[in-house]
Amino acid sequence: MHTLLFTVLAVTQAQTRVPPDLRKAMDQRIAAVAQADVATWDRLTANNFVLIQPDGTTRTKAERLVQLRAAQPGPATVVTHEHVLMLGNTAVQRYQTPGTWVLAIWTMNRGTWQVTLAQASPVVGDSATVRQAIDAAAARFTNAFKRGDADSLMTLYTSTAVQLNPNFPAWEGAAAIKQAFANFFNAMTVSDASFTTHDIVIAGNKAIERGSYAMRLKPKNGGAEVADRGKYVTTWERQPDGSWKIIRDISNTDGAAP
Amino acid sequence: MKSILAAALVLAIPACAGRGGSASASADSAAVMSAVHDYRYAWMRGDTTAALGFISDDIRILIPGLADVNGKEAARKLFVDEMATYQIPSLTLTEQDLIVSGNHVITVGIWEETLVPKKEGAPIHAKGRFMTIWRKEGAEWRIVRYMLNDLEVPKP
Repeated sequence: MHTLLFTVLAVTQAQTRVPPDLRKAMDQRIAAVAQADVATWDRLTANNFVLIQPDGTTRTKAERLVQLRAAQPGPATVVTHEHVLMLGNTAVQRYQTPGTWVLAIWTMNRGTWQVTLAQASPVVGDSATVRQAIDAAAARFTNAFKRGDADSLMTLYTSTAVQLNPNFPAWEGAAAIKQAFANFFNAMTVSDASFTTHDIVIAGNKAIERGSYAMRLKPKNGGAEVADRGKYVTTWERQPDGSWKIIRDISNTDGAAP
Repeated sequence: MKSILAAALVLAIPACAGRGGSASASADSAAVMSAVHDYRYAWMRGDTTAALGFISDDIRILIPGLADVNGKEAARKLFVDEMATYQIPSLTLTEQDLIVSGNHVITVGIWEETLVPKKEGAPIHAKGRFMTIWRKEGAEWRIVRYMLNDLEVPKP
């Protein structure tokens, strides 16, 4: 028991004693990836570095450098759940970014801390968490649709999304989808609309929602109100910031084809 | 409505590899393409048992204007009815898209076909889009969600 207690205390203390130079290096390297800062990443990465990617494939330092040189600077990476274990001149760092766990092994190499091995693993949310996120996004979709607000709807689609409605050409890409919704709302007033989720299949960083809809539409140029019911399957994709957006959407109608 | 059911159930061979380009994604894409090929062949020869081998127990088939087909037993009835009613001499598949994600593969595309009633009646031409969700179950790929909609077919 005394031995175990000592070990726990030692580890706890070790975790709190991250040398300032290592702390700085860790922060700089995470920032370097976000900013596509090749020089900093190169300096903080060992020549024999290997990255194990979420799909099981690996990348060498040279291969990652090629990727970084081709990357564009992006927003700062949000890091949570960080934990560092110091083992002499080696440090085991693990942390979570939106959608990914990262494990990085740091070693002191000629006075410089460098990462020799890193592994990235997808964070698969539990079904309740994903369902909650999709429900929230779907509620925003419903509210925007009922308001006839194409701009708000577009915040729920990726730039390369594709919308597949019956008897219409595919709406491919955010600009086309926004224009199509704008045209639709220019022609129709949404008297009422509801979208009901029946189930969600979680597939890696995708969630496939199956649901049904009902809506009443009134033509703005006059004419009788139109009622429609149908079904949909929506593929959502988790974004780097943790939000969920639509990448593919298909629907059909319970009514007769026009 | 019957005219589109067979097309709904004879799925597309994806024409492109999965997004992302990793080795495992490519392997999954190839495995699904192989499953689609075998599944389609089962339909062409009217082999209900073989076709049902590609259907998950919790399948949901979503056909325009019809109640959802929920579960394998409901799918079995649908398959038997369709195979007894139609032959499919032609089936064209275009604009296909395949997305690999975890142990699922999503395929999207357009189907167009001619159905010939086995007993009587004129051939039926139908066209639409589909979205199919495949899931890896053990070593096999099976369909868990399938939706199609209609595209207007120009009258001859």
